[in-house]
This record gives sequence, C-alpha cells and structure tokens, in this order.
Amino acid sequence: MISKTFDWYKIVSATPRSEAVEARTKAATELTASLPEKGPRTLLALVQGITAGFDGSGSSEVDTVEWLLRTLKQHDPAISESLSENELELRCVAAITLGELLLKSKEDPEESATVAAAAFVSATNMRPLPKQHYLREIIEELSGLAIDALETAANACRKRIDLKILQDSELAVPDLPAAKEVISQLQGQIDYLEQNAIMDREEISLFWFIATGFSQTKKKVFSSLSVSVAAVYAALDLHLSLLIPASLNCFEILAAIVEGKRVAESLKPIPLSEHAKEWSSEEWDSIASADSLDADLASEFPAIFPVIWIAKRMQEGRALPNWTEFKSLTRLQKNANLTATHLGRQLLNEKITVSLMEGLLE
Amino acid sequence: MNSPAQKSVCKKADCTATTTGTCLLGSPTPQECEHYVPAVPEQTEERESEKTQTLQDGRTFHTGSELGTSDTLQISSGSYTHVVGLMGPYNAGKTCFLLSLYLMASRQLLPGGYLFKRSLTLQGFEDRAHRLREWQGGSLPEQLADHTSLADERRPGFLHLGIAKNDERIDLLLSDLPGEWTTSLINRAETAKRWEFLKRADGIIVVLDGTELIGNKRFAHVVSAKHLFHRIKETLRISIDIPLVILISKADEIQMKEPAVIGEIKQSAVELGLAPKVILCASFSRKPAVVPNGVGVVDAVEHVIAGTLRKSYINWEDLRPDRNNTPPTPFRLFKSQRGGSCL
Repeated sequence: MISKTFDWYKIVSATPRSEAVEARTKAATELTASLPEKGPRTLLALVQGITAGFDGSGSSEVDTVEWLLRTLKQHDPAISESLSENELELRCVAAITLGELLLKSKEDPEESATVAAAAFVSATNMRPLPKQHYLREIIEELSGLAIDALETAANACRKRIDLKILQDSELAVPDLPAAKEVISQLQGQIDYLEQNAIMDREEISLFWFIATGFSQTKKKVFSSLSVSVAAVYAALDLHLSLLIPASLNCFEILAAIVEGKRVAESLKPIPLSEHAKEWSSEEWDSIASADSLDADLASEFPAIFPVIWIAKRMQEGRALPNWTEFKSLTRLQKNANLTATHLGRQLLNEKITVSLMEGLLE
Repeated sequence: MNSPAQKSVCKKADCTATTTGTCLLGSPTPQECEHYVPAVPEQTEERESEKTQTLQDGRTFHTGSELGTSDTLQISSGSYTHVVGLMGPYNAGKTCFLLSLYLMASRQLLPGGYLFKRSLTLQGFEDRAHRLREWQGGSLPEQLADHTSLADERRPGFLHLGIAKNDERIDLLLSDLPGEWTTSLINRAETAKRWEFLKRADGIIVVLDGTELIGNKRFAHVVSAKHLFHRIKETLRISIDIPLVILISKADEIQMKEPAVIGEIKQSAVELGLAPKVILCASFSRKPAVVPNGVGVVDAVEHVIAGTLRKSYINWEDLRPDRNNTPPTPFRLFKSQRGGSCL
C-alpha cells in the first residue's frame, strides 16, 4: 500500500528520511507495475516472505528476493546485498507492493490479487500475530485488505445475471444474418442461464450438505467421525461444492458441520500435533494426493500450506512429520492450540488457494 | 577553445580537434566528422559508475559509543529491532539501568534464559561503566555512572544490545538521553520534535527515583510524571497500547516497597488510556544480600518485548456475520425468477 510507505517503513527505520521513503515508494510502484509479468508463484513467494520472513530457500523465493532487491537497489544503492542484512527491508517493500495490489482489487476483483489474498489468509489464519508491534500492524492491515479482496471476488462470482425478457410475439427472422444474430443473442442468454444455474447448484449442494451432515468423500456422517477427522472432510467436501473463492458464510457452514452434535469438551482447542495424530492414511491421501499441485505448492510454500504440508509428509513417511522441520519451514509451532473448526477453516483456505493457483497457472 | 569542442572528443588517433577545433580529415567543422563524438555521456556514465562503486564499497565504522538513528539501519534493515525509549529526569537512574542490563548480559547473568549475542556499542557501554569498573568494593559510590552526554546534542543516541532466548533473537535499541531532555519535554512542548523516534518505539520505560518519591519533593515528582504522561499521549501522540513501564529505581533503598504516591501516578496514566506496569528496580543494589543486583531490569525489558497482543489469530468471531443486523450476503434469498418466494 503505497500510501502507507512512511508508516510501514518504520519497521526498518525509527525516523525515516524523506529520501528513503521516496525510494521505497518508487520501488513499490515499479514492483506493482511489473508484478503481472512475473509468474503466479511470485505472488506466493511474496506472501510467504511477508508473513513468515524470507530465508532464501526455494527457487521462487530466490527469484522473488532478487527481483525485490534489484528494483529497490535502483532507487537506494546503499541497500546491502546480503539477505541477513536486508531481510526486513525486503519484507517491508514486499508488504507495500502486496498492499497496493490488494487495495486496487478492492473495487474491481483481479485474479492475481484474489490468489494473493487467499494465500495471505491461508498463511496467517493459524499463525500467531507477530509480537513485534510495528510488524504486527502491517500484517493486521494486510489481513483486512485480503479479507476484503476475497469477499469482493466471492460476491462478484456469485452475482446473479439478469436475463433479458424475450418478446412474447414471434420474432421476425427475415434472412440468415438476422437469424444468426438472434441465435447468437440466444446463446448468450443460455450462457448466462448456465452461470445462474451454477450458482443455484452451489446453493443446492450446500443446502444438502448442511441438511444431511454427510461426508461425500468419507461416506460417513460427520458426527460419527472424530472431530479432528471431521474437520478435514468438512473442508474437503465444502471445497468440492463451492464456487471459488468462498464467501465468509462458507466458513460458518464449516463450523456448523464440524461442531454439530458434539459435546463441548470435544470442541476444545488442542495442539496441532494432536489433531494430526488422529489422521490415518486415508486422510493424508485425501488432503494431498501424490504429485498433485497441492503437494507441489506445499513443498515450495509450506508457510502458506502448512496442513497440506503435514499431510504430504505423513504420506511420504507413513508417520507423523518431523516437527522441527515443520517449525523451521513454516515458523509455526506443533503445539499451537487449535479448535477442529479452526483447523478445518485452515484446510479450506489452503484448498481454495490451490484452486485459484490452478486457474492462474492454466 | 569553445565549450562545444571541450564536450566532444575525436576517436581518431592523433587528431587534435578537441583542442584546436580543426579536423584532421578536413571536415569544415569537427562536429561534421563521424569520428567526433560527444564525450559527456561517457564521462557521466563513468562518474555514475564511480559514485555507485563508492556507495557500494562504502562501509561505516562506528566509534561504538552510540548509534544515531541512521546508524541503527545497519541492524534494523536485517531484522526487527525493539526500540525502547527511556525517559526520566536527571539522576533518576536511566544509565544505571542500561549498565545493569549490559553487565548482567556480559557476565551471562541474565535471568530467564536470555543470552548475550552481540552489541554494536560495546565501547559506549564500557565508557559508561568505567566508574563501576574502578570501584574497589565496599559501599557503592554516590554516583555509579557518568551522566549522559550525547555526541550530537540535538539527536537521540541509542545503545545496542542483542540478546537471545531459545532460538529467538532480540535486538534492543535503548535510548540513552540526558535527563534534561525529559525535563524539557515536560516544560516545553516545542522540544517534542527530538522525541520523534518514540513513534516507532516498542515500549517506553519511565524511570522515577524511588528515594525521591518518598522524599519532601515527592508531590513535585508526581506532577512532573503526570505532565510527562500527558506529553506522551497528547503531544507526541504515541499509541496508547504501547507497553509502558513505570520503573521505580533505587528500590533497594526504599526496602522494595512501592512509594505511596505511585498509585496516583499510575492512575493518571490509566486515565489517559495508557496501561502502565509498575516495576521496582535495583540496578545496583546497596544491599545485595537482601535485594539482588539488577532486580526488575529484565522484567522491564520483557514487558516491552512481550508487546501488547490483543489476539493470536485471525479473529473469525469478528468476521462472523451479525445475525441481528443481516449484512449483504452473496447468497440470495430463495426466490423464483418471477419474484415469488419458493420457500
């Protein structure tokens, strides 16, 4: 968010000089303009760097760090080349760039901004906010922008299309070109009708989903599953029924499904590692099938897809993951206390981000 | 020679057109010759390259006494730094607080598992500590540390201390400013400009002399403290959720008992919306057997590092639709195309 450059640059400098702020404003403007030319993975690398920090691992992150650094150095040559000496500088300019992208998408949803917003929500959903005051302010503000961008995109893809009322009287079709024109208009109306039908289908599917409380993927009623397992299938089933991106209501539907017909005791937050202990190979495979885009993205961006990463590792090792590796890659703790609903929301966010990435990669 | 000739050069060997203005190949003017080319862009490029080289190669070596706000970039560009503003009148014990922290860190005596990692101002700490180093034992001298004087009296100076706990690295930038700065701020709002760095502070520690708070002038100190809080909030416009510590120094001399006036001081801060934490501190105890050295020092730092977490995660409760005030929903009501209700 370029208008916030002065405030956000305070994470680096206690009393920012005008020239420094100007240099970062120019750099962020250039970065925002050149973002569309970069691959979609750059968006994820930006999000991962802002939320969990850049550590120079992974090809996408290396490229992104290089892109940020070169652009910034054009305006402030004194920036260090070493990541250990410029990490916060890069994080700051990345945040300004992402903020600008999300802000622009607030009115008019843009595909790459929607992906970035979904990834941001996914990366922050179960991540403790930073204790560092000024870093936390940036993350909080970006979270707000990301939620707004997602809601705008969700509303746009569910906006009902009004069909033209066709004339009651018989249309005169004097010649072939006129007939073609009428058919073309009719086809357009049919397309609109189909889009409306897709929206109807989402509502009908969700209605049945809520009414039956039955998991299509697991072929069992949710209340018969352990709450940690129910959270997984609630997220996976919802993901299959939803138009992407999901609106916030869908996360409430997930909560209702996971929490329905449960005693309060079973809904208490438990450590993430305890949730994972409840999963069997069926759950690992359902979350992240081998060689899927899910697994690929989770390997490269574990901080954005922590739950998929866990499932992938469990699938590969046929056991619980190495939690030290998990912590170092995701900057998350295995003992982070989460309710099953929270875990389900996280998985749904991750799946939505993968679907959006799929669209962008195509 | 005229200036156009000076700004161009001839690439032909032996041609003197640059100085004589006569083309070796017989062109009416040097400018018409294909070998006569502008020299300025090349020279500029060269100079630019030299300039860039200088900037890239340049490295600042600090004296190590203190860091100015621009010097701190050397640390803060790489990782988050916690800026801690120490405020308090002359002789309140600000420098002793810093020294106590430094000496505990340097001797691995920091409680709570903290370890010393690095400091760019070791010399600064040592300069301030020389009186303590000279102390030969026995009762503590009246003055433990030299009073602060800044290299540049108009700009704040910081002492740097990098500590670590488990695998968490924490860089502290602790302001060490003369007590007169605080007194000036209380008396004259115009001096607030030099406290501008507090807008980026992660916490403020207001140091008050415990012995003064039980003495004859205690009410004057209460009034000063109230004015100071007012300045922090209204003049400096510091966010009210900033971690704020009221550090009662020299607490060993008052038997580690909170002076009675502290309640009033704390209340005045609370009324402004601030959330102060009162900590009794003995940077260097006169009775180490009864009150350990450094008590309260790390507590104050920890309060700042802990920050003010309002919530740990994205708060889904805040995002839940208010069912009593139905928001616009992307799901339309169940209505037929003709407007009649289906349900």
